[in-house]
Amino acid sequence: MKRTRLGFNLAIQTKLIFVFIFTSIIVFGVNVFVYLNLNQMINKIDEIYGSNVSLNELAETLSDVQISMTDYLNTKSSDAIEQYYRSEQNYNNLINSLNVTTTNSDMRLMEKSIKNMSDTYLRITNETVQSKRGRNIEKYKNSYEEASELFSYINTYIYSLNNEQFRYNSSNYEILLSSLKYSEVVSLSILIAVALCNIMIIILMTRSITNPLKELAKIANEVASGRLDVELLKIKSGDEVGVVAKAFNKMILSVREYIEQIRVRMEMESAMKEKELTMETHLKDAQLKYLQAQINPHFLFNTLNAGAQLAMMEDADRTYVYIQNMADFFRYNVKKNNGSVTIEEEIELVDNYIYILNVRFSGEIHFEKNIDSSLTSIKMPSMILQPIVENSVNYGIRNIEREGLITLSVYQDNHNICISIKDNGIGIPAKRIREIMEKEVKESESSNDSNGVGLENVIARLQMYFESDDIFVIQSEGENKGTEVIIRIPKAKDGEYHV
Amino acid sequence: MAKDKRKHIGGKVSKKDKALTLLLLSVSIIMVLVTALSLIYFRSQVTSMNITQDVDYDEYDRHYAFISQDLDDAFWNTVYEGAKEEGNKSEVYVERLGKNLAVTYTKQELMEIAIDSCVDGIILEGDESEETLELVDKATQQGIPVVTVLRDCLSSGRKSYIGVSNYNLGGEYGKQIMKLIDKDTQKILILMNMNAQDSSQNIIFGAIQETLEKEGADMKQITIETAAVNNDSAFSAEESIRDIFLDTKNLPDIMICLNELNTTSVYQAAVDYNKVGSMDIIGYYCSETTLKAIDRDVIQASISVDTNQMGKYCVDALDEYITTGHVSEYLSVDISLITHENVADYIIKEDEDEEN
Repeated sequence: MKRTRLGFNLAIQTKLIFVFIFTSIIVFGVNVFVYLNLNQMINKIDEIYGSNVSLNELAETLSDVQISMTDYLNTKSSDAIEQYYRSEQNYNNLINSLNVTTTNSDMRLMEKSIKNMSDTYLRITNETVQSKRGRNIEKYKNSYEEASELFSYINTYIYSLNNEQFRYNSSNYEILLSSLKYSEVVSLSILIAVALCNIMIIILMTRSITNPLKELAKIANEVASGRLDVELLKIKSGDEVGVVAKAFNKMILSVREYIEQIRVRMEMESAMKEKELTMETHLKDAQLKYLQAQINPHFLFNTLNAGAQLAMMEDADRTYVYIQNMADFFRYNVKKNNGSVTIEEEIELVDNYIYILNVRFSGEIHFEKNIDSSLTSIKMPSMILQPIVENSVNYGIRNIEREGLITLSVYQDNHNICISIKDNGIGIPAKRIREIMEKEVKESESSNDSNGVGLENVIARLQMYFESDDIFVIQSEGENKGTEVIIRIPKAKDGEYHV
Repeated sequence: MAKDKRKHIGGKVSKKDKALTLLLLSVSIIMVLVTALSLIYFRSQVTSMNITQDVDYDEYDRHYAFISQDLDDAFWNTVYEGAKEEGNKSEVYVERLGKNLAVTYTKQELMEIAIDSCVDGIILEGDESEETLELVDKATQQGIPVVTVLRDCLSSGRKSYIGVSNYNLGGEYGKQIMKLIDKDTQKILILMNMNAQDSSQNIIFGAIQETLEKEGADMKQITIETAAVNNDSAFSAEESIRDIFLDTKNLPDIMICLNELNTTSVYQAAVDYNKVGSMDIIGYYCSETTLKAIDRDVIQASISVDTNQMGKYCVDALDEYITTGHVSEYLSVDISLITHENVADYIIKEDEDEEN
């Protein structure tokens, strides 16, 4: 593409000046040519009757010779002879320019005849003048007659030739005049052709200027409408447009580069954020695992089993039931330590727990169940209901004077399955509820005096399990008006519950 | 891939651009060519006028003057054409003297002009007048050879005479008259020039008489008369002929014309006075009118001289004299007979000549 044309690196002004000068020179040149030719034609028309003029002069000089000779013969004056010689000389000069060759052109042949006759005539007039000088009267009279006769012949010839030439010149004049008109048409068409040609040249030349501009404008428009992946401009010229195009190309390249840099930076940032989130999740997971591992269920379970057997052998039935419940409580931990369980299994665990507590607190806790048994096969995370019940016991009804009551209900509400754990304890202030829900409760604070699974853990696991934030609700109508915890298990996306 | 696509688009645009540029370029080139050609044409137009300004001509070695009494006569025109044609072959220009002049000069004045113009030779329609004789001698003195044509100037210093044998001509007339004679034929009229001083007409007359007698015509019944036609002044010949036709009692049965002008006049008079069919006419020369008349059977026959040959012989004689100093005194020109049977050939020939 390394085309280097003449004047490609010139400035636009120079280019334009060049174009105008070039075309002007063409027009000027053609005009001069046409003008010169027309001028030549007009000159020719002027000259056309020139031959008639010179013939008239010839005739006049001839008659001068005749008159002066006659005058001399009449008067013999020296003026007359002088006049005669002068006009004879003139006439001689004039006839010397006449044609002397034989041709087939009548006019030239007449010239020849005039020339020859004039020679004879001059010879005779000279003889006449000589005879007059010599006073040879008879001879000069004869010669004069002869000369006069010849004079009339020559005059006739000149007159006839003049006529012929006039006729010929007139026809020439007609031809010239018509061809002059014709030439006007030709010259006009030449000028039109040149003008058209010039327009073409101007278009051609200015196109080399405007085309890059147009391209530049087009691409600039595209860039303005947001397309940065346009083709770079080809820089063909070194003029101002070329400079602008070069700068534009550079600008597009820089913009592309910057956009690329920003894109890379943003990608890096989002990757980092993702990593951070994954790490947090992993941490949570680890915490969960850790919390669940706090209890060594196998040991307790085995020990309690042994205790139950011992109680049975000693016929201590109540102790046996108590220890059996304990054992069931811990077996649950062993069995359902990870993964999900049914609501029913969770309720069994709560039963076990309440039984244990009632033994421990000598039946202070009344426990009521209000369960829609068709819903108990729904799956949910393990170790959820027991910690809530434990909370209700520990914070709700432990320190009240009246009889403590915990109600567990499972029912369907709209599209949710609700598990409600309600106590008639001291209640929780709204501020505290907000703190719990917003996870501002410190781990150590909540972990106190429990079997290890705090509310926060419960909430987090529920949220993760059901991928829903508002699954866990704590309600309390005020001090000593009890607390209700509701777990709303949402319908799964496919319209089913976790079964 | 995206880059390829973009390249493709770019290529398309530049292709269109190139086509447009090519178109514009070719149009400009065509315009330049048109302009250049027009300029060249224009220039040639202007310069060609130069050529018309100067007459196109050829140069010749010699200059002969051709002098005849009548400048418009078709007969003399063809003689002149024959001479001119022959002259062209040998670098000689034959000028029809007096043709382009504003004044109509007599034969004698034209002779003077020819002598004073120092021509190289003179072809003259001769006559036996004193004046002509002198002028021929004057020309001979100045070294200008003179040949006479059709009519001689016998006693002058002319170098040669080119003409028809009048005796043969008379014989031919006689033969034609014999063909036309029937038992009712009584009067034959021969139109002669009143002012002819030479003997040619007498010889023709004699030859006609001799032929008729020889061929066995009844000379007791037939009278041969001559009528002198005055052709000295303009239009007089035509008037004389009309006079003959007006004299209805003495109209001849056969009328003989010895020159072209008389033939035409007689033909016209015969038509005008309704004498076609009642009078036989024998004409002279093959002018267009005569040929037409023969074709229509108004004129029964015409005796023509080979005028082209006549002109040719004149130039040949002058050429021969100038180059060798000698030439034969008398050159005879062929005679041909035109009748109703062969007139078609002459008409075709005339047409061809006109086309040429």
